[in-house]
This record gives sequence, C-alpha cells and structure tokens, in this order.
Amino acid sequence: MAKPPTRLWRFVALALVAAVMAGCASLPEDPIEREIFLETNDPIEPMNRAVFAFNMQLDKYALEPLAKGYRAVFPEFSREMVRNFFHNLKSPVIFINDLLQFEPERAYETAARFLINSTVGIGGLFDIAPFESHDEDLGQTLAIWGAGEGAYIVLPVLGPTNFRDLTGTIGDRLFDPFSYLAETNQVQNAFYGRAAVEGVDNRSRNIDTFDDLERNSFDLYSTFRSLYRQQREFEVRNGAPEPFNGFDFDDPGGGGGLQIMIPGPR
Amino acid sequence: MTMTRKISHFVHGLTRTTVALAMVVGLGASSARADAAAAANALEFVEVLTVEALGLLGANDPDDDAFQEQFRTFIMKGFDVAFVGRVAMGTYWRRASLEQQTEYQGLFSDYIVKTYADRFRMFSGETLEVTEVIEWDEDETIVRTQIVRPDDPNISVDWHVRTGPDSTLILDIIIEGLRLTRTLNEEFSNVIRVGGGDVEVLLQLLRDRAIN
Repeated sequence: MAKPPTRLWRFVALALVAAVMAGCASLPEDPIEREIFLETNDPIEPMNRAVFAFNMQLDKYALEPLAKGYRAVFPEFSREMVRNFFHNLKSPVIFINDLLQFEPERAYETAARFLINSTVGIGGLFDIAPFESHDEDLGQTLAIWGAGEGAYIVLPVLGPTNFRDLTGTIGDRLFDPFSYLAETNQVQNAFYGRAAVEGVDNRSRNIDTFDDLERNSFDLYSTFRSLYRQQREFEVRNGAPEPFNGFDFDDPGGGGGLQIMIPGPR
Repeated sequence: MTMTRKISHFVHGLTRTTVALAMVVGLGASSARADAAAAANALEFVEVLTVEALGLLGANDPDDDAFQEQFRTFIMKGFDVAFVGRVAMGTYWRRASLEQQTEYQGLFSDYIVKTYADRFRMFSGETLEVTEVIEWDEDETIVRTQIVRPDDPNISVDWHVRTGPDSTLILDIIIEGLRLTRTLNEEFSNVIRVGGGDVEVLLQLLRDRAIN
C-alpha cells in the first residue's frame, strides 16, 4: 500500500489554514466592487497577491533563467522528446478521466496512443500515434460533473489554481500508476522531478508571451487570474466556444440609451 | 514562407471555406434564412479582413510609422473599438463622467492599436483557415479559424462578429479560448477597484502608456 503524498497534503493544509487566517474578506459595500468581488471569486485575494509576488520573484531569479538556458542548450527536437516522454506518462490519468467523463472514443484514442508511443515510439520519446493528443484531468472531470471552480488560489511555486482544480490535482496523483511505480522502485521524489522538468519546459515555451504580458498588463495579477480561469474553461469545453446561452458581454453603455450615473463611494 | 505562398495557402483555405459556407446557407434555407445571411456576411467579412491583414504584413516594415497608421485604419474599420472599450472598463463606465468617457475612448483606441501592432508583427510564416461558422442569432456569428503553423500546434482564433443593418464589425477576438474583452475587463476593472474605485487611475495609466 502506497503512502499518501504527504508533501502535497501539507500544501493543501497550509493553503486552507492560510485562507482561514486571511479571513474570507467580507462583501464590499460599494455596488460595483461587490459585483467584481463576486465575479472574480477570489476571497483570499490579499494573500494570493502576496504569494503571486513571491512567485514572480522566483520566476525572475530561477525559473526564467532556467527556462532560457534550457531553450538555449537543448535543440528543439530533444525538448520535444522530453515533452513527448512526460506527456506519454500522463496517459493513464488522461485515460481514466476520459472514462469518467463518459468519452469512450477519447479514452480509446488515449489508450491507443499510449500503446503505440510506448512501443514503436520508444518509451514515448516519439509521438507517432495516428491520433491527436489531448489532455484531461480530474479538475476538468469534476467540472463536467457540475462542480463549480471554487475560490481562486495561488500556490507558492505551483502557481494559480482553484479549489476544484487543486482537489483534482491531488486526486490525479492518487490514481497515477507511475507515482506508485516510482515509489515501489525507490525512485525518491520522481513526482517532483517530473513536475520540475515540466515546469521548466512549459516556461521555456512561453517566454515571449510572458514578456509580452509583463510589458503590457497594468495589473499582472488580475491578468493571470483571468487567463487561468478562461484557459481552464476552454479545456473543460475541449476547445469548443462558449454556448450562446451562457454568454453575455455586459456592455455598460449598451444600446446607446440612457446613461445612468452610479454614485461613487465618496 | 514567401508572401505569395502564404496568400495561396490562404486562398486554398478559402475553397474549403466555400463548402462550409454552402452548408451554412443550405441548412439555413428552410428555418433561419436571416441567420444564414448574417453568418455568410460575417464569414465574408472575416475573410476579407484577414486577407487584408496578411497584405498589410507583407507590404510593410512593421517598425515603420506608416505601418502603425495603416494598422490603425485596419483596426478601426474592422473592429467595434468603442464597444470593446466600454466592455473593457465594465460597470465603472457608468460612474465615469462624459469627459472621462470621451478621453478614455481616445486613449483606449491608441492603446489597442499600439499593443496589437506589436503582437501582430510576430505573426509571420503562418496561414489561416476557416474551420467552422456558428450562427448565434440573427446578428451575432462566431467565425472559427485556425492559424496553421508548420512546426508548432495550430492556434485557434475565433472572431465574434455582429452584423447590423448597415454595418458589420468584429466585437471580440478569442485566441485559444481567451477572450479579448473579458481579459481586458478583468484587468481594467480591477485596476480601478484596487485604485479605490476612481476611473482616473486607469486614465492616468493609459495616458502614460500613450507617451511611452
């Protein structure tokens, strides 16, 4: 019987305790602030902003230089092999989530990809399977089952998530056969090693985007929060656009009708 | 990839589009003729606009002032910038005075042109293919496209188009599921909120950006 992933649990416990300590901020009185507060679903924003600032420093002094070095030293084909290898390792988790989402066709594709790439693709280094790759995780499965995203959380090092996706991350880890395989073979910290390499690789592919956002955003924290949330929604929809009924622009001056002035707080 | 090949790729994509277009019109004929007409209109609008965009990239040095000017004309013609600006500011718009609203819209269009001219110039060697046309209702359509990249995964770009009685304009652009209006709104409204609910805070940031 494998041990539960203690460090990850410690993270969760820490996040929860901190959330309580930060005291779920009370509903603002100002009507517009209240509207934004409810929309952003970020009751522990002050703490999240502090963690975000810490992560940005970590990025500046560690992750970004590492990612740039990684991109400079290793040619694209070898970086792609690393990416393929790790993505292939995720197949069992993706497969289980395909099934949990009642997507037998996608589950079949995941299984076929895993078999072909693990063998003919030499342990997953080459992606030669005839199906396009896709990702799934328990956070998405929970969303499909109707779970709301829950409060937005910025974790130290790991970055943005929310209550639902954090639960999903822990669940995925529990039914990932490779974490058990690594433990029974005494490969210490294999899980963290994988996460670290993936983190560096991921960052190395987003250097330009990241620079662009840093240069152009007036509030990087809000921009990241918005992008994280939209990206997760897009993943849950498997890349489909929002349904017509679930979308509204909220044009504050729409129709060119009467302009209502809402008095400010002062 | 040379410009001619790029265009030819694009034109090739258009023949595929024609099939999609025929399907839209065909399906709509019995039930929703008006919707289909709007969708066809939206599709054509996006196609013409993107061909023009590619031409703009091919014919100019992106660092040129002339490029900036042409890019501005292109944005103003294709996008409902006033609408995007209002949605970006969100509910605080109603708290802004008429003077602030007017100044904001001027600054906002400068901001959009500047930011996107910068991003747009990174777009090179790629082709665009229309993949799907979704009619939302009689005047709103989503035209789905893919930027096809030879060595990297495709990028999904959706154009949210409104077809009015006398004009067609793009309301929003959605790149890999990220909506321009929503991203701007969640940034701008929070800038104002954190700044104590004063629209002036955002205006000052935009003024500073305009001179830098």
